Amino acid sequence: MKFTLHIWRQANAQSKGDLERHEIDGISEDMSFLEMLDLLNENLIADGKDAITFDSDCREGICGACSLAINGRPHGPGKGCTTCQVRMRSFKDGDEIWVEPFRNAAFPIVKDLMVDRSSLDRIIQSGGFINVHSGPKPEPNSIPVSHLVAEEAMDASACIGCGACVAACPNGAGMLFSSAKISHLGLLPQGQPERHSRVLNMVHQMEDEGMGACTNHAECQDACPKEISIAFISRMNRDYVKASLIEPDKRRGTLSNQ
Amino acid sequence: MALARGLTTLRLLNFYRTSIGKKIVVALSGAAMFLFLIAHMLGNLKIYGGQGDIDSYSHHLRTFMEDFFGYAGFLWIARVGLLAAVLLHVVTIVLLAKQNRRARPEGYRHKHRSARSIASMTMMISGPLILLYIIFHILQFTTGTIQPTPFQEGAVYFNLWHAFQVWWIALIYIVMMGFICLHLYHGVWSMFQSLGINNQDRNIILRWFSTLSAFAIFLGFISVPTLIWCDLLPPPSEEVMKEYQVSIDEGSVLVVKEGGRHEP
Amino acid sequence: MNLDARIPDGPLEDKWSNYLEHAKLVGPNNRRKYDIIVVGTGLAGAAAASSLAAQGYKVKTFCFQDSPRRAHSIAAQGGINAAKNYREDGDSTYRLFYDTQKGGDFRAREANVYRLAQLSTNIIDQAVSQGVPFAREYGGMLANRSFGGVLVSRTFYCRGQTGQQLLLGAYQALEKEINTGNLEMHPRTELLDVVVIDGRARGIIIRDLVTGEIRSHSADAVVLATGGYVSTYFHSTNAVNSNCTAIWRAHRRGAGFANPCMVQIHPTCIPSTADFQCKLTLMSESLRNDGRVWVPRKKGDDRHPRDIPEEDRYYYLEERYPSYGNLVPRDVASRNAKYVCDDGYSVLGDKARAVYLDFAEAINREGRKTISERYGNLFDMYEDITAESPFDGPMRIYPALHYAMGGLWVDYSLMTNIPGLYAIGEANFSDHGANRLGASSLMQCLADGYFVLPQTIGDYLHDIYMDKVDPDHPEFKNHEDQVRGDIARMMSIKGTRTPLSIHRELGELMWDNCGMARTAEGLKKALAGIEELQEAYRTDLLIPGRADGPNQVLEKAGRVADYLELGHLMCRDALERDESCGCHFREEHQTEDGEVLRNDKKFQNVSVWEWKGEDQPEKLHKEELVLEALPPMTRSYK
Repeated sequence: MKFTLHIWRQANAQSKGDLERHEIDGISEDMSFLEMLDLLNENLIADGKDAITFDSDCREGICGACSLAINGRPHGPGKGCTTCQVRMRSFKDGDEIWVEPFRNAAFPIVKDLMVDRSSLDRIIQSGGFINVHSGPKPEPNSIPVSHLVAEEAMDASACIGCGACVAACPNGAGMLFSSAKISHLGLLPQGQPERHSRVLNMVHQMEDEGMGACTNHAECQDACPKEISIAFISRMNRDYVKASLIEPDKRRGTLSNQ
Repeated sequence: MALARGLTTLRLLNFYRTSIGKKIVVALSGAAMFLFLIAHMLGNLKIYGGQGDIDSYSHHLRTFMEDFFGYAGFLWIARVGLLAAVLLHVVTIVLLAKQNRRARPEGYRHKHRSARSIASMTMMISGPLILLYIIFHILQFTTGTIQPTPFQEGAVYFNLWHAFQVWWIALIYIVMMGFICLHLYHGVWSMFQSLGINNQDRNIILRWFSTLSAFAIFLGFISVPTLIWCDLLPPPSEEVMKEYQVSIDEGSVLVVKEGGRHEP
Repeated sequence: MNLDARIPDGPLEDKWSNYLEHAKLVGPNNRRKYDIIVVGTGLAGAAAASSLAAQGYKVKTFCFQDSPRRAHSIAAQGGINAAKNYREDGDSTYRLFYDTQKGGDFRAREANVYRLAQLSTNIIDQAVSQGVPFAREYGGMLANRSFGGVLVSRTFYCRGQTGQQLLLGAYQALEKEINTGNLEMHPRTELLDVVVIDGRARGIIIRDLVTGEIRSHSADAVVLATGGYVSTYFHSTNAVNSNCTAIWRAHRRGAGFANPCMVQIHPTCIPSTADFQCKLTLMSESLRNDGRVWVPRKKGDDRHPRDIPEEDRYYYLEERYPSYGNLVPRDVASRNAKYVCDDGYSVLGDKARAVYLDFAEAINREGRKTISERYGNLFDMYEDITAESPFDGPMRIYPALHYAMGGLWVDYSLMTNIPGLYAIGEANFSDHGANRLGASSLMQCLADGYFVLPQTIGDYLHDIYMDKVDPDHPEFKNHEDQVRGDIARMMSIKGTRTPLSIHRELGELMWDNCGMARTAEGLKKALAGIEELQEAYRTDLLIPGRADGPNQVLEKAGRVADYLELGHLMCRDALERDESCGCHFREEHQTEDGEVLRNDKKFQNVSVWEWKGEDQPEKLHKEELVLEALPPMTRSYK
């Protein structure tokens, strides 16, 4: 197969980038998209040019490192898969393909197609955890968790933190990512003690990262390689209202009578 | 300073500072306008009861809870409430839109759409158009500031019938109702999602409710200009108008008679 | 080389508590005075770093990925073992110890393995309290599945994403400590050297993968949790960036490398069908619970597998190993796949080697829905890659390189022979002997990270109290200059060969000669081939771009240099270990029916290699294994 590629090249975060045109031939339809880029890189190096920089690691759709928007769609064609799982058989021979980095103010470009997604880590830092030490714990079966609740929590927890939701959202919102973690921990009994502080902290951090607002386009759900549902966003909104307006804020202290 | 500090500790302000808080405000103000639209449309449908029916309804709105709020008091409370909803809705959306623009400084060169509906994509077009039209609509039918066709205050049937005799007024009206329908198709469902009411069990019902209510409102509204323009409704009768006009001038209460006729 | 394992006294089951009772400790208010470097943020690294930071130590962590959550532990699919005995099917700490020792073909240290079995249950408790959504039964209790090489059901799982979920638990704990301020995270950095001053590990030299800067970080102890080294084979199930650089550079600074030839081949992977393929994708071993492995009895039978009647199918594992059947350990399953393909029964004909893994019977028995719930994401993954659905026909699978049992030599406290340098998780050699059982690597990583290292490191730190070294020490400058010199040299060659092409060629040599079956002749051939490749690397390497910014080819080039040296050592080790054991199968040493033939008299030991400099061969040392609680026996799964 033969393709014309328009690939985003950008030297670093400060410089201005642009699309660069490449032709590539001799591609097998069983090749993955990233293997095609590997091959293109080998050709570029042989021609004495700088290789295209892009993130990828596990190449089996679980680490969340790969972050390409193919033809404007994060992770390219196909549902429920990452860039590394896209095979060239998804394209027609002779196709023109546009390859751009995940775009968002919270994802500054490092080089070419590589972006900095540490904003997602900072959102987790702000509250996406359960506080425990590694000492002895209660016997896990002493707190039964319904099969369905465990499965729902697992659906949310399947998030690989790739940031495709943020990249796909026309508003650049991080709602699906944050809501997945908030819901995962908020559904399980172990996550209850910190449930309200978690949603407040994570939502505030998400705003501080400069991400946008949700207008319920559902593009995130569509681009998510783990097909995480926007029902979790609704759940997060509910939790957020409860935590910020309904739950007592100051629980302690005396009350003045005059 | 102390006041500023006091304000920052206000939970509601902190709530509004986040985009989720703002979305809730958008959803609630939208809900208020949605309910108003339904009421408005049902009011419009009174036109099928005849000229007297709709004119008396309009009058009734002014006299509703008159004992308590005074003449047109309730109406003004509702108007202020609605105005607040519109302002909150618009101002909040503008703030959100600015945030969204900042979040995506550089867009994709190759545009792509997967899940967005035409309705959700055009919210920022249908919204401002609707706002402009509301202003025009109020100037035309409430205050009578713009009078492209004969206008008499309080004479609803007269005003409508004359206005919709003009093809372009009817057309603009119908087109704008189309935009409202589009706005509601996404907006109503979106409201449930933003308020955290939606989930997998309810989505299908909420989705259908939004679609059906959007279309019902559309059809309800456009039926009036369509029928008038097609000459399917009789021209306003001087007599009814006069009788009704007199009653307002005298400030007396209308008595509803059987058959929809009114007498002072 | 000091290879004293410092195993505590007492009976096997009391050794760990004995150690804890006598280990020296650092008091809570003194811990903040100690800096600990943890390199690698997979299960072991993230667990250790977060536990140490929670105790109050000042911890710095490093990873080459953009986020600690991307470490390759995330790809472990099937599950994690723990001797909880929830099913009342005869499981116990001893049984888990027994299975692991037997699975490892009696080439692991008994005390370590027993401790692992003891700690296994704590891991589940820890993970559940962190919010890991393990599969639950309808009554709300934890669910189990069974895995290869054992006769009990002791594997806990989160669909096919157990590694991911456990890693997220550890990652979240790590992020929490960053929030608390005890932990400093350095993503996109790569360790390029370990600094040893006066015989103690004192810090590391790293390259910032974004700016290209070379920087020093000093500490009181350095923990390597950088995973295994099977990327040496080019085609493996590891991530494309997984590498041996950290442990290899530590080795070059004096850390002993134990059992380098012991690498595991995973029986159920999607076969390699083309050169451009960058990696092999693993299909969880848990598939063998419900899948049946077979090949057509007739060579070159090109009927659709569904049209081949039962009597024409050769269920070779079930026939040869009636009691374990499809659930024989990984090395046995892999070798048998190789044999049937060697005999010409490959279901991909001449194109590639593969056998069938068939779910038809399980789908008939349990229904499509149940099977889909159990393996849905694995089936999808298979379909994504091959464009064939396992619901419509059997999978085609073939073994692939998967895990390194070997690694840096460590004592009972997980410290290498360099004081202050620790190796945990897959980076060390300690618990799996010559073969690892399924669902045991997650167990070992987390046991090391959450429970062992945080309790053993104090014993060392207590002794070096307040003896500080900072990055201005001349040794750090020295090391930095060396690293810069190495990079400048690589960049200046400007030859014709890319690091990727050299790596691919090394991989072929290793797979053909140091793979599932090895011979002295093949290994010697590989050694010569690697030396040629090393020469090509030295004289003909091509790296484009600059070193003062992101340059993935440069990163790769550094790693390939280490693969070449390590590959050479692996072949030497395989040659020296003139027996078969576990995954190390020397064709010269097999029983009449093709099973592994150990030589306990001569090789009941750990080979530990000492770096002697670039121009000298490595020196072999041996740690003799004392196997008392479970004396070696013939490993039979018949």
